[in-house]
Amino acid sequence: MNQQERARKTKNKKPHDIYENRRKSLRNHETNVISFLFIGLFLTMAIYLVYFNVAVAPKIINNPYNKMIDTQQDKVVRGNILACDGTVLASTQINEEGEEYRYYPFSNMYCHVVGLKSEKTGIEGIANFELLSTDGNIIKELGADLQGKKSRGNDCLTTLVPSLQEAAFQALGDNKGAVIAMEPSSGKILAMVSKPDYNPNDAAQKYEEWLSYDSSDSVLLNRAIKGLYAPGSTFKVMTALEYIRENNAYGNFSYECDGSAYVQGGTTIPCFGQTAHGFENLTDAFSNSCNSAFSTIGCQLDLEKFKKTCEDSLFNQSLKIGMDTSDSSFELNANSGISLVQETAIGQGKTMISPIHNLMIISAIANEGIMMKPYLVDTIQTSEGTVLKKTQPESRVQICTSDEASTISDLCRSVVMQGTGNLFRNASYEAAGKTGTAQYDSSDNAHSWFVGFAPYDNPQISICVILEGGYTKVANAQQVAKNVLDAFFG
Amino acid sequence: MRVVFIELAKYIFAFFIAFYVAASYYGASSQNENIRKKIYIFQNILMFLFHLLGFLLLYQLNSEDIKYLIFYFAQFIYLFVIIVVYDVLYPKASRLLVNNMCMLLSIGFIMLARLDYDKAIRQFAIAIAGTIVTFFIPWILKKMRCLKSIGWVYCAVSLGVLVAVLFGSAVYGANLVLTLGPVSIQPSEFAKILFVMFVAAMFNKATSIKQIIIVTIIAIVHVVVLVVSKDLGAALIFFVVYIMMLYVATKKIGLCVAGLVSGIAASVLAYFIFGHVRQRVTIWRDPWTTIDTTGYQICQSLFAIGMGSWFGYGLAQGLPGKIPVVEKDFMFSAITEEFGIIFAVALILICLNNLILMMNIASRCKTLFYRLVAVGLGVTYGFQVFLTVGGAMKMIPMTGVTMPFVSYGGSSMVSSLIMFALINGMYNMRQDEGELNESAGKSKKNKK
Repeated sequence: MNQQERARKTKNKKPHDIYENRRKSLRNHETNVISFLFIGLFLTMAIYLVYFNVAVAPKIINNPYNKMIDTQQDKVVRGNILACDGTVLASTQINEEGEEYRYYPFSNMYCHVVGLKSEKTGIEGIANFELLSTDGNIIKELGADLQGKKSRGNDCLTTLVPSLQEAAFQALGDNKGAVIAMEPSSGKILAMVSKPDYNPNDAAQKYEEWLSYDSSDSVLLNRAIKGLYAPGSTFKVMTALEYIRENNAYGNFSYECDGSAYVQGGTTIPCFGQTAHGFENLTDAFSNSCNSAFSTIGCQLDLEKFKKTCEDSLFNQSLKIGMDTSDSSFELNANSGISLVQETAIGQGKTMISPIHNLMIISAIANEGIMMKPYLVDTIQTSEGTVLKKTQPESRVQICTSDEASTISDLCRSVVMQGTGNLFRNASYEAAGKTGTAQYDSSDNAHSWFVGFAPYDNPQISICVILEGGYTKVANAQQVAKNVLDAFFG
Repeated sequence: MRVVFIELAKYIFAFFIAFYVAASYYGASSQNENIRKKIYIFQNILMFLFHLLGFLLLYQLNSEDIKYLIFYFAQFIYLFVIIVVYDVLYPKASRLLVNNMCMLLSIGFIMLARLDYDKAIRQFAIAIAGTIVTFFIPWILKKMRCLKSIGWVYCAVSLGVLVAVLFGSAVYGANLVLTLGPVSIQPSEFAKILFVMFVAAMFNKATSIKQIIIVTIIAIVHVVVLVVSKDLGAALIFFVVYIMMLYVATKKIGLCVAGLVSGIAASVLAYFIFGHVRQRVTIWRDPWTTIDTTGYQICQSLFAIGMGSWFGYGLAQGLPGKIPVVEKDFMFSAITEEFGIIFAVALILICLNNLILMMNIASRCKTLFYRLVAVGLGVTYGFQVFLTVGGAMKMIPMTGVTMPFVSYGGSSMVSSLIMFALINGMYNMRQDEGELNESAGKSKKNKK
C-alpha cells in the first residue's frame, strides 16, 4: 500500500512523464508493424549479402577491372595451366635475379588459347582468380607465411589435347586463320589455334610492337573467337534448316541448275566456277553447295521466321560463353531486298560469323540440336592434384529438334559421300560436314571454311576451320580439317 | 609474422563483433535489470578491446607511427566519456543505444584512420564538438515543452535550407552542400530531423482531413525540392518517413498504401522526367557494360564485397581506395572487404538493434508528439542504413547516402548524434522501470 502511494507520488511529481502505463497497453500496434517491416528488410539485406557472397561473387570477381586479384601475387605463386593430360602449358619460374616470371614451354603453339598473364587474355584471364587462389588451408598458409614463403596457387587443368593442338598448329601452317575442335556432346574445347601467332615468352619486350600491327595482321587477335567472317556456304546449314522447317515435303524438292540463277527483281547468283549442276534434289543441292538452288530457296523462305531461326541459334546475340567473343550478325527481315535475300541464303550478304559460333552450330547439329556451351577450364585443382572445382557441361540453347538435326546431319554426310567434301571420302572414319568459300572483296581471293564432325552417327569431335584469303601450301580449309581429324582418329 | 598477426586479428574481430551482437539482442530482450547491467559492461569491454586491436594493427602496419597510438588514446577517452556521461547524467537513457553508438563510432574511426588519417582527425574533431552539444539535448527535451507547438518553425527552417541548397555549390553532380564561410554543411542531413519534428508537431495538433492535406502538401514540396537538387537518397528517406508517420498518426493502413502507390507512380514519373534518376537505374540494372565509366564505382564496390569473403582480407590489406568516394557512400563495402561478410552481417544487425530500440520507445510514448518523433527518427535511421547497405551491394540502386556514425562527413555525424540524443532524451523522460514493474506486480496481486 505504502509503495503504491509512493509510486503515485513520484508519478504526480513528474508531469513530464511521457510514458504509457504498461498495464494498459504493452505495445503500440502501428510501431510494431513498422518494427517488423524493418526486421524483414534488414534480414533480407543480411541474407542477400550471404547469397551475394556465395552465388554471385564467384561469377563477377574474375574481371580485369578487379585490381584486388593482382595484389594476391604478393602472397601467392601463380598456379600452372595444364593440358588435359597434365602437360604443363604455363608455369611460374624464378630467374637468376630471383624474380618470378611466367614461362610458356610450347611458345607459339598455345599462345592465344592460354593467353598472356600480363594481359589476362585467354585462360590466363578466365582462370586468373583461381590461379591466384589457394585451396583455403589456413594452417598451411600460415605455415608458409611463418617460413617467409609464398603459398602456391591452384592449377588449372584445361580441356586441350596436346596431340590435337599440335596437329592443328601444323596443319594451319603459315596461313592466317583459325582451327577449333570440340567435343559436341559436352562443349569441351579440344584444340584452338589462331594465326598469325606470337611467342608469349617474348611478351615483355615485344608487346608494344605487337599492339602496333594493323588488325588484319594482328598477332594478338584470337581469330577463333574474336574474328568475324562472311560464313559463305557453311551458312547453307542454316538455310537448309529453315527450308526443311517450313516445308515438310522437302524430299520433293527439285531444281535444274544451269550454273547461275536470276530472280526477277534480284540479281544473278553464279555457282562456284559457273558449274552447271543439272537436275538436283535437296541432298544434291546441299552436297554440291549449289548457289543457284540455295539462292532460289532463300527467296521462298518466310524471312521473319528465318531471322528467328538464326537468332535462336545466337545470331545477333551475345554468345555468353565466358570468353571474349565477337557477336555474329544476320540482317534479313521482311523488308529486305531480293538480291540481299539471295546473297544471304548462300552465306554472303551482310551476314558475319565468328569461327567459334560456326563450330557451336555444327556441334549442335551433331548433338541432336542441343548447342553446348564451349569451355576450356575442366578442373581447378591444388598443386597436389586435389580437385577443388570441376566444370559441368552446360547446354546453351536448343537450336532445332532432334529430327531436324538428324536431317541436316544426313545432308552433311552426303557432302562427304557425293559432294564437295570429297577429301574425307576415303578417310578411316565417317566424317560429315560442309565446305564454304567466302568472298570478301572483288579479287579472286576468298576465305575457305570447313565445319564438320565425325563419326557422323556417333560424333566424338566437331571442327571448324577458317583460312583467310591468300593461303598457301594447303588446298583449302577442308584439307586442314582432314589433317586434324586424321590425328584425332589416327 | 606480420601476416600471422593480421590473419589472427581478422578472426578475433569477427569473434568480438559476433559476441557483441549476441549481447545486444540478449540485452534488449532481458527483463532482469542486473543481468542487463552486466551485459552492458561486457559490451563495453568487447568494444574497447576491438578498438584497441584495430589501432594496434594500424600502428604496426604504418611502420609504428606513434600518431596512431595518440589518436587511439584520444578516442578511448572520448568513448569512455560518452558512456560515463550518459550513465551519470541520464541514468534512464538506453545504455544499449549508447553502447551501439560507441561501437559504430569505433568501427568508423578505425576504418577512416585506415583510409585517410587526416580525414579521420577531422571527423573525430567534429564528433567531439557534436557530442558535447548533444549532451544537452535530453535535458532540453525535458525542459522545453514548447517543442511540440512550433511546427511551422521547423518547416520554415528545413524548407529554407533545402531551397538555399538548390543555389549552393555543386559537389559530385549533386547540389548538396551549403557553404557558409569556412564551413560547408549538407543541409538535408539536418532538414530530415526538422521534417520529422514538423510532421510530429502538426499531427500532434490534429489529424483531421484538412491537417493531413496541409502536411502532405508540405511533405511533397520537400521531396520535390530534394529530387530537383539530385539528392535522391534524402528524397526517398523523406517520403518513407512521412508515410510511416502518417500511418502511426492516423492508424489507417489504407491511407499509407495509397501514399505508397502514389509514391511509386511519382517515382516512375521522375524516371521519365529526370535524366539523373534514369541514370541511377540504368547503372543498377547493368553496371558491367559501363564498367570503365558510370558503372565503375558500383562494380568496384561489388569486387570489394565479393573479394572479402567470410572473414575479409584483413585490416589495411584490401584496396578500398579503388572505390571513388569510399569514405562516404561506400564505407560498408570497404568494411566488408577488410573485415568480411560475417562482420558485415553483424554490422547490419547492430543497426537493426538500434532501430528496434527506437521503435521500442516510440511504442511506449503516451504523447503522440513524442511517439511520432521517435517513429520518424527511427525510420529515418533504418531506411538510411537500408539505402546505403543495399546500394553498396547493388540490391537496390545507389542513392549516395551515408552510413550513420560510420561514414565520413561532418553533417552526417552531427545529425546522427542529434538523432540518437533525441531518442535517448525520450528514454530519459520515462518513468522508472522498477516502479513500473512494481506497480504492475501490485495490481496483479490486487486482482487476486
